[in-house]
Amino acid sequence: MGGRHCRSDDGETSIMRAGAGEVWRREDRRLLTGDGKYVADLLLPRLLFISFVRSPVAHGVIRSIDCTGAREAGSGAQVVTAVEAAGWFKPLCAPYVGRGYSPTEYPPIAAGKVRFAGEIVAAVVCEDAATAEDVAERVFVDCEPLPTITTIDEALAPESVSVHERLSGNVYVDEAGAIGDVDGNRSEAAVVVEDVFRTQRLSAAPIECRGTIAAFDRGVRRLTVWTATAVPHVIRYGLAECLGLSEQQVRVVVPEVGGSFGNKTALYPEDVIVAAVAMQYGRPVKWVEGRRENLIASTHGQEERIWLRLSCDPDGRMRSLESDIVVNGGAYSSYPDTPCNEALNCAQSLVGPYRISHYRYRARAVATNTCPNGAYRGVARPGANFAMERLIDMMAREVGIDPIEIRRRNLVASNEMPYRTVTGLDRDSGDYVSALNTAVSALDYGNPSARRAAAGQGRKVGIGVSCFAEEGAWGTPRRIPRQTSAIAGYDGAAVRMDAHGSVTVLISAVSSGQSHETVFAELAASELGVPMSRVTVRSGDTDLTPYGHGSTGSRSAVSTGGAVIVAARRLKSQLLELASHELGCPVQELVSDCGVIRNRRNPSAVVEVEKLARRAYRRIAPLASDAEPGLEAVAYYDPPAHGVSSFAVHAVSVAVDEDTGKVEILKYVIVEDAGRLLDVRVVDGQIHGGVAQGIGKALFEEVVYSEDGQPMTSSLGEYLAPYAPEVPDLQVVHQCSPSPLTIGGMKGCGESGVIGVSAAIGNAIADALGGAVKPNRLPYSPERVWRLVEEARARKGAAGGRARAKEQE
Amino acid sequence: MVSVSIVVNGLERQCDVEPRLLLVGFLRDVLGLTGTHIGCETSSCGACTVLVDGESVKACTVLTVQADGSEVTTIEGLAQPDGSLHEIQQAFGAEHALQCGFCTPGMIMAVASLLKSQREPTDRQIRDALEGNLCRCTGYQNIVKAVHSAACMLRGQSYGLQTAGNAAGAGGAGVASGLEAGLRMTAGFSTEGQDGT
Repeated sequence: MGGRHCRSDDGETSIMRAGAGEVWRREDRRLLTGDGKYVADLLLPRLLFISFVRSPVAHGVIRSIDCTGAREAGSGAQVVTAVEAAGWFKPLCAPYVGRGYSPTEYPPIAAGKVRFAGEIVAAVVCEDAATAEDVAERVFVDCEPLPTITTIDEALAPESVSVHERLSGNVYVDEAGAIGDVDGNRSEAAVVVEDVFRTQRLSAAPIECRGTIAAFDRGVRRLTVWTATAVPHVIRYGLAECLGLSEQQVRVVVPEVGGSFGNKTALYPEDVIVAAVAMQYGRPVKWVEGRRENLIASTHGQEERIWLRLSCDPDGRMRSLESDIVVNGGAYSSYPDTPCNEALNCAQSLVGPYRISHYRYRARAVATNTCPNGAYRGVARPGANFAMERLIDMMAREVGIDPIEIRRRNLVASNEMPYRTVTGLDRDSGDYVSALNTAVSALDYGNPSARRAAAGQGRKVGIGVSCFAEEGAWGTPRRIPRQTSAIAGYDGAAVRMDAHGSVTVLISAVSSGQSHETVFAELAASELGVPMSRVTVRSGDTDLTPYGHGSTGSRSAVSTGGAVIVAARRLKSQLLELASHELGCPVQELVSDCGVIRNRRNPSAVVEVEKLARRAYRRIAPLASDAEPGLEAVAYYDPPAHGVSSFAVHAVSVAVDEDTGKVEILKYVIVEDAGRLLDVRVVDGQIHGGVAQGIGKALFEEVVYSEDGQPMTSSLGEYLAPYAPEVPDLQVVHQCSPSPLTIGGMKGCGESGVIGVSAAIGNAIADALGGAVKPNRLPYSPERVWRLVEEARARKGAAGGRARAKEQE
Repeated sequence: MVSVSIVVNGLERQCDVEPRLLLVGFLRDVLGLTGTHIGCETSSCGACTVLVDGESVKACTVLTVQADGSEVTTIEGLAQPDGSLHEIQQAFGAEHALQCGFCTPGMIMAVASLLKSQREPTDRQIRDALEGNLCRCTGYQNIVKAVHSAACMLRGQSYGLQTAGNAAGAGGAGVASGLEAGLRMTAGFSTEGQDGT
């Protein structure tokens, strides 16, 4: 297996090459042969199955739950409602340390009231999964309907129904702040532009839906939970809280996870119920989600209304920025992120990679009778980037400066770095202007004949760019003021060498496709100076791994990478001590490489690492008097307090069909800087996948509710995640400036692909249609685009000369 | 209950099944072949794609009783008995055409079907052939590369793979070349233990 890359090489990108017939990633062989075990594939003896009965109405008081039909089925199935489950668990209550937040409770089984269509009202427990579903269909829930609200505007309207009694005005959180002199700067500015930008509700839609198995050992009183999650320690903590157990009594095991993208970063009511039923019944219990459930009841992402006002000088330099952000938080505050995650992240991120000293924001999240909001790849940053980059193009047009040039003048320059934004984020390194120039020239920007050639009959071609800095790897100090305190900001790694010289790396993070087994084995091998074939990475077991945050927010390269590096270096110094004793020379003269430790001054003084490992464990020969047996080191890494920022430019050319409103992407270029790349192929794969989801957000995807709160997109036939024909090839260019702030220089970029897409495409559409139209609402469905085409035509007819000059011949 | 007889990865299976049992349920729950995955309920995602009598089929759209008398090939039936990977599997691995792996078995079986009829498909033909297989991780770019690479290997040509060590090119070490040979599991050829039973 590989092993051709043994030596430490700080600052260089690392590329693993597989030989003939070999697969490259550690994960791949089992996944390619169908041997990967996801939670749906797992079985236990005497297993019970759960199928959930879900509320058919979006808002109502439960009058009765009729189980007679279910009992008549003669299946032996049990129906568990809030009545039967009284005392089995406490409600979820996501904490948040912040002044503007009002906590609310989330009962796992609806108690008295339902607040969104799809909320759990009962659990059917049965020996057979199909029968459980059959029985669930025969449970009849009778509700007294209440008025229903589904939109941000409805939530804020003063006369609207209250979703939670203790939330005044349906507002979960309301925080505001100001830095500098916003009003003064704006009043002196040459140009002021503003608009309201609306982003749609999304579903992460990983191909694997959710699933949980729980088993409670009544003898030793321990609960074991197998679940598809990205955050096992959060699940452990939250389940212990809800079920009245100590964390020590709970073990969370994570099998293969088929994608998460934020969908599997919450502790869900389903998880609590499955665990509680297992405890009560004394038998293991399994629940596997169906796609309809996933689309209506697993957290939704990113629905925002963002008002933004930007001002600049005659030369386009930004003076002031103001924002008013409202997020649709849904019916409950999801655990542990709360809707504060989305709202406050947005406020913080809006300043982007630009030089802005005067900023005012207000960020709110509101309650509606829809599925709770949770993390989805990019969290608030795709929306923030969409609003800001569209507004910059509008400002460029207003002030009469080329949109690329206006960005050049405002991007933080490399000689200003590290640059701390007024919202407390560090833009630590990189040459943003150079990246922008590279992207634009790769796209062949401003070449009119190329545009004409690409246009074709009845189509208009346009060019758009979007720049963003992605702050990833949030450490503990960042989490406490901005987010919940229920989760750690750090990650851990334990590196252990056995008596044969084989190395196990235990990490708190969990992969759902990010190649951790491969990347962190490469990293540990490189740090230790042993062949990669000797290193195995294990994760996803809270009994085994160090405590830590898990995998969210573009953090693992930084936080887990940092912990692996530190732990490996600690282990390496133990090996060097042993070697120093063995070879009789000082540690400083020793180097570890390809499984041996040798004296760099005396090549014949060499000892194999395996021999040292035997010594460390068997202790047959005398060792240094203070040496402990064994070879093991643990490290935790808390990322920098003000974050670390990767940077990217998305540049795209599109063709807009004037008759159908269809948008085709002609060319897509990305220039990105994520610092030191642990494995460039993994990074490219993450970018490709992120952009595909970004294209889904820009053009196709939307979770839709009817006015009375009925989910209208409850299958993949209605929720339009893009397939292969819809996603073009991308040209990705890497500029790697290692971060000076992190151990190893990584910045993290797992989400970045998705962030810049909507703005780049939106700017391209506006450019294609003459620049006066404002595509400020997502997604760019054919109908929406066609209306913009019509608007552009009407303007052209009315205005004449100016629009004609902008249009292609 | 209805009696069915289906050859799965070369082994004949005789079972009594409920008429409503989907083929994907038969493969996963009765035979224990969990490599074929379920990602939706509306035949949209393609994660359950298998070959039935050589044609790619979404196993969630076929009742087991409909497959009576057929030959079914699942992802577990693609590699050689000695564990050597099929060209498509090799190419997916070499080109990083999978991340979480959940859509991968279905994607690979759809590719197997494509390459039976198209020996040198274009980018467009590949993307159109995979329009029924949803992937959320890869953005499809590396999948398309992998299909080109697999097609090359199957044609016996060497290809500019990133796997630079593969200088000889044709097929890779130890793998039988030819899609037909890889897929044909002749009657009587023992595959005991290979498919998880």
